[in-house]
Amino acid sequence: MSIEIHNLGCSLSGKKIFSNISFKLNFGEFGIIIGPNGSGKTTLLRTIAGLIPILEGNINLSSLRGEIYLLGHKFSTKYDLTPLEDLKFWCSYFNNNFDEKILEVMGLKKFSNLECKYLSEGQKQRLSIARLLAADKKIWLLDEPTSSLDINAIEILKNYINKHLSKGGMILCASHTNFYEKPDLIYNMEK
Amino acid sequence: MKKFFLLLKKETRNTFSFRGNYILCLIFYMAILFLLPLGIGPEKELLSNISPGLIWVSMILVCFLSLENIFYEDFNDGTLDLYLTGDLSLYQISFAKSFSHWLSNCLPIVILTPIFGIFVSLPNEIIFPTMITLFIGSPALSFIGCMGASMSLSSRWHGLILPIIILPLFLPVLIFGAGSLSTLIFNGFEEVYIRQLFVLAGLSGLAIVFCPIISAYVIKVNFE
Repeated sequence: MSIEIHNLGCSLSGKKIFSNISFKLNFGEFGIIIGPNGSGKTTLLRTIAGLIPILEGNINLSSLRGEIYLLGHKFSTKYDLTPLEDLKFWCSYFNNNFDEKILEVMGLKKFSNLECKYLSEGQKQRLSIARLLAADKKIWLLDEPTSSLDINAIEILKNYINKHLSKGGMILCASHTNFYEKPDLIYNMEK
Repeated sequence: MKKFFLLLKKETRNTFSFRGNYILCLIFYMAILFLLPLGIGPEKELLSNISPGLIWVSMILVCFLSLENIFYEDFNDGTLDLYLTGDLSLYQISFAKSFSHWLSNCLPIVILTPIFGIFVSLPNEIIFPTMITLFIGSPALSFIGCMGASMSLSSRWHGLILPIIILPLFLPVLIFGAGSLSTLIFNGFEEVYIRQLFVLAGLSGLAIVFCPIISAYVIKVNFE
């Protein structure tokens, strides 16, 4: 099974962001999208996630829509919720059992009852990744997942990426950094 | 449906929690009802006659205060993206947020009307009819207000634009809500009051059905 994108184009506010994007990514593979700022990496991920309509081309994904998790730029944290409350809600939302171990693995256990407004940017990004793990979806769309993360957190993320791929998951990542050594696909938006 | 009720529970619980803004809205409501008689004058009869209008106008002002960030925060911090990738539709999100706004901001005011009515000398025989009109008409305020909040989403001055958008749409609700009670106070025409209640119920019904549809479309356009 795979995702195939054919001649994909998209526009925002009437302005064409990208066109003629074509690639294929199989389950069990890690793809990385690179390109300069403004080339449309985030927009591509959001289009694949179904948040932005397709202008031209197609994506063969319809049966897998419910299996996508988009880790965006923004942390989606609420100031007055704690990481524990946040994760419990999203576990219920994605129909999964809550596992407090995720907070422990992401180094957030001692902050689990502290309101998110007191967390640093790096801790909020760790919480976003904890949410990604809690959602347990097959397809991960990661937009700059290592931003604000320290080396330790990046290693934890890489371990989970490897586990996800070994279980047959698929990851498509937009990143400026070469944090994953052996991507199966490198797509350059500048082309 | 499970996700819809989960979202409804989350939104309502957050607003009702200690950290929620429903207390601020109640305090604001009390402050308006406390200040208005001081500005109008102490004549009890005058206050009694205009008390339903004062209560309705105060509720509308509370809605302006509480509706501003109903979608704005989720839209800007990426939470809406997560809701949508979890298969909840924009219609369901709009409906849940509108309903939770009514539950957490309007319903407490309805229930506390007998107490708040003291500030504006609401006649005793009008207290229960006032609660009924507020109960029937306030859903229209919440659903129309949320629709307006979605329309002002991408504007830098969304807080200022929101009242401009929703005020004309609130007018029929205000006219029939306050007007039905005035009919009772001045003329005692119960039949006219009941007919106006039906109109109010119709306005709320239309708002409940159509406003989430419009909100969903507008939010989708904002994504694009």
